[in-house]
Amino acid sequence: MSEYSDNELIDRVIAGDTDAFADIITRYQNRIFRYVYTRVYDYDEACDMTQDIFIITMESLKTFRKESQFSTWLFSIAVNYCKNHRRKNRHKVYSIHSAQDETEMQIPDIRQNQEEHIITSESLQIMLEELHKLPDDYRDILVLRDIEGQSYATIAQALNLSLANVKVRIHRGREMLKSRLQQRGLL
Amino acid sequence: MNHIPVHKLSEYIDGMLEAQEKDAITLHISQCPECRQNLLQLQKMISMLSSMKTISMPKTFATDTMIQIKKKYHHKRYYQWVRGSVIAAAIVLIAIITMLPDSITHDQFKTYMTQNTQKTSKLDCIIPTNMDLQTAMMIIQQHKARVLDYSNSYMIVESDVNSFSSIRNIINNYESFGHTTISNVGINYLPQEDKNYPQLTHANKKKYIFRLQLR
Repeated sequence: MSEYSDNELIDRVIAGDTDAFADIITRYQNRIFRYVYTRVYDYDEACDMTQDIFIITMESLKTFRKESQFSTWLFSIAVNYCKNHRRKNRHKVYSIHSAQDETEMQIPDIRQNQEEHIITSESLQIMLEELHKLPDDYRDILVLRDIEGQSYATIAQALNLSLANVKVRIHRGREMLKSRLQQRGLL
Repeated sequence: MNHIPVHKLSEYIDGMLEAQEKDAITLHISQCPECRQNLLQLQKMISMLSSMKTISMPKTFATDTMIQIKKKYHHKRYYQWVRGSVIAAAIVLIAIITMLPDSITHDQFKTYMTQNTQKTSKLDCIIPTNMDLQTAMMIIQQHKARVLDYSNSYMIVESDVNSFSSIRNIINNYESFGHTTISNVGINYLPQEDKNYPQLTHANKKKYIFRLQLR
C-alpha cells in the first residue's frame, strides 16, 4: 500500500502519472466492491461495476475539488452509478447464488468464538441475502455504517442526506434486518 | 418498567447518547433480560455485518482495471486525434470550397453576363415564330449561321445578310400557314402596338444578330 495520501496520489495522477491511480484502486477497491455487491448480489456483475466506477472516477478526477474527503466523493460516484445501473436494469432478475456457486468469491470461513457468536460463511451468506433484500435506502446506509464503519457525518455527505435522516435510516434498517435474521434463525 | 426501544439501543451501541441517557440504559439493561437480549441480538448482527468487511476482490483487480483504463485512455486519445484531424481537414476543405469555386463561379457569371449583355444589346431584331427549337436549329445550321445562345423559348442567332434574308423567308413561309407573318425586317417587322420589341438599328450592316422567339 502506498504511503502517499489520497490527495497526493490524485495530484500525481492529474500531473500525468497514470500509474499512481493503481494505488487509489488498491486502497478502495474492496470498500466499493462490497457496497456494489450488496446491491446487485452477483459477484461477476459487481466486479465489472466496480471496475466501471474506478474508470469513471479516473476520468472525472480533475473535477474533484478536494472540498470533501476523496473516499466520500468516490462513494458518491459509486452510489450514483448503482442508482443509474438499477434504473437501466430494472427488469433484470439477479440470480441468488448459493454459497457453492460462489467459487471465486472470497468469503472467508470466519469462526469467531467471541461470546456465543459463531460466524460461518453460511451465516454470512444468509446475511448477504437478507441485506440484499432490504430497500436500497436502508441497505446502503447499513453497508456504509456497519460494514465500512463510516461516521454518521460522512454517510450524510456521501448519500446527500441530513444527519437526522441518517440516524433514522440506520435504526430502521437495523430493526428491519434484525427482524429478517430472526426469521431465518440467525439471531 | 418500560422496555427500551430498538432505535435507542441502536444509538446506545453507536455511542450517540448523552452520558446521562447512556447510564440510564446501562442500568436498565442490567435489570431487564428482554432489553439485554435485544441489545445482544443487535450487537451480534452488527458484528456479523462488520465481518463482511473481509469480502474482497480478486488480487489482480487493480492491475486489470489499470489495463482497461490505459486502453480506454489510448482509445480516447486516438479518437481525439482522429476527430481533430477530421475537423482540421473539414476546415481546409470548406476554405477551399468557399474560396476556389467562388472565384470560378464569379468569373463564369461575369463572362456569362457580359456575353448576354452584348448579345442583348446588339440585337437587331426579334422574330416571333411558331417553330420549335429543333426546327429552328436545323434551319440555322443549313444557313451556316451561328447560334449564340438558346433555350426552349428563344434562340439568338448571328448571320450574314444573305443568310438572314434566307432564314427570314423560310420563317415567313413557315408562318404563312395561318401564323403571324414577318416581312421587311428592319422596317416594319414589329406590330406598332407592341412596344416591348426592340427597334431595328443596323439594317444595312453586314452581320445580323437576331432573336427567334420559339413556340
